[in-house]
Amino acid sequence: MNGIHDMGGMQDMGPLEYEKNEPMFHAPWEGRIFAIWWAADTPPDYRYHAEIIPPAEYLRMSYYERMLEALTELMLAHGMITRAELVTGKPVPDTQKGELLTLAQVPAELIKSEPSIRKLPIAPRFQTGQRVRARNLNPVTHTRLPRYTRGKIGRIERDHGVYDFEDTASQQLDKKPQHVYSVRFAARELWGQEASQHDCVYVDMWDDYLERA
Amino acid sequence: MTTTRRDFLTAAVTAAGAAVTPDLAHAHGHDHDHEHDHQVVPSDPALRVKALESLMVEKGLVDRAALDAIVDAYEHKIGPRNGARVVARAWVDPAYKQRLLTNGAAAIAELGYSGPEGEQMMVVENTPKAHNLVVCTLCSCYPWPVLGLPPVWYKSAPYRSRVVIDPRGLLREFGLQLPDDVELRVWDSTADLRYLVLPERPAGSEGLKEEDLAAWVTRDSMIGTAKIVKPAEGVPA
Repeated sequence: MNGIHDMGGMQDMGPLEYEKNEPMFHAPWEGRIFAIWWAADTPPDYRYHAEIIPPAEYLRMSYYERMLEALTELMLAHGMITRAELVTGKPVPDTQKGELLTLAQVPAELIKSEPSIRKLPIAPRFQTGQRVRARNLNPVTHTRLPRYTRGKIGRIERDHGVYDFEDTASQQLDKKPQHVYSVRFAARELWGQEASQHDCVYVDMWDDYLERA
Repeated sequence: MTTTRRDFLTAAVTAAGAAVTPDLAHAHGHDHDHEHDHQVVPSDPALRVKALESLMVEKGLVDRAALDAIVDAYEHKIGPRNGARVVARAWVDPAYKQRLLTNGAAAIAELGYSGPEGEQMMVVENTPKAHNLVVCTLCSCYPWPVLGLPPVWYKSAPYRSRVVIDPRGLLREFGLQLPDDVELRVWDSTADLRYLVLPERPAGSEGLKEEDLAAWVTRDSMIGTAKIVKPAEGVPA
């Protein structure tokens, strides 16, 4: 989705606001919604629900307000909670349930490392050093292909291995495991000759995002 | 009944012929006797979160004591001091540094740090000729086990939007002026890898022990928006 979340390259978002000695959470509710999101066993399209928050609202909201909004919509969409429950606060039976994370499980979950890299014998379509072009794709669903790279030429710097394809996996469709590469784009390729000749952007890209250049 | 924005988006997905799950295509077409566009958060988020937590506890979706433990961990245990220890170890132990640059997550786990958003780690090294800077333009991805949760500015539109098109201008706002001939590498965390900058060991730190070195390492230096300087007397890094 060409949404407001895909903001790499925009220039009118104002100055940076830096807070010294920033607390981890600015209010108790921020920590609570983070923990709820962390603990709840939810389907994998959370980011899609964050991305389709209306643009004006997306920009107005803080990160944790967006988390509250997206998590609520995600759980509604999957029938984990209902509108009526949100209004009345009273649970209704027969809603979807995930696995409950208990206090006893938290310490292990906090340090659990489950790498998402897949050990599958899938051949890479591109080799390190190869020139590639980011395809001009405009899906209306979740994608990790930033707009500012589309149609631009880069170079494969590193093959990270095989990973599920988030564009489809996040919709609970075919996981389409494939290679992910670190692709180097020169700043001048992305932004023209005014950009510094010494600068570049590295973007992690799935095979399906790339074509030979 | 006007078409809600969500209905419009759903229609766009369907019309595009994209393969979508029933969830995405139809979840919002089921019941049109009430308005169910995005709530526009008119009410206090604190109240909404409290209500949501109560509902989810009652439904058995979350456990309140587990939530307490998670908040406590991210407030008190998981933060940039972890990353600082990784950096300090890399400065004093060349073999460790090599392992860190080759397989970041495994080397970080040697010091006891692992967990969500740190399963695949790339550690990128600053040198006199190259400076690294980390962002997630699409979201706010960040290496939690070593840096904790990201600061507000990292998640903000000004940072996410400009860091790829004007990284030098943005760094000047942080007070960092890079020489023109230094290569500036911006890492956009778009997939499953998370990035940690290994800053240059600063002048004046010769002979310091590892734990003292760690006290010099700042969060921002591990994102790439600052260099490390000798801490002023009595001021914690």
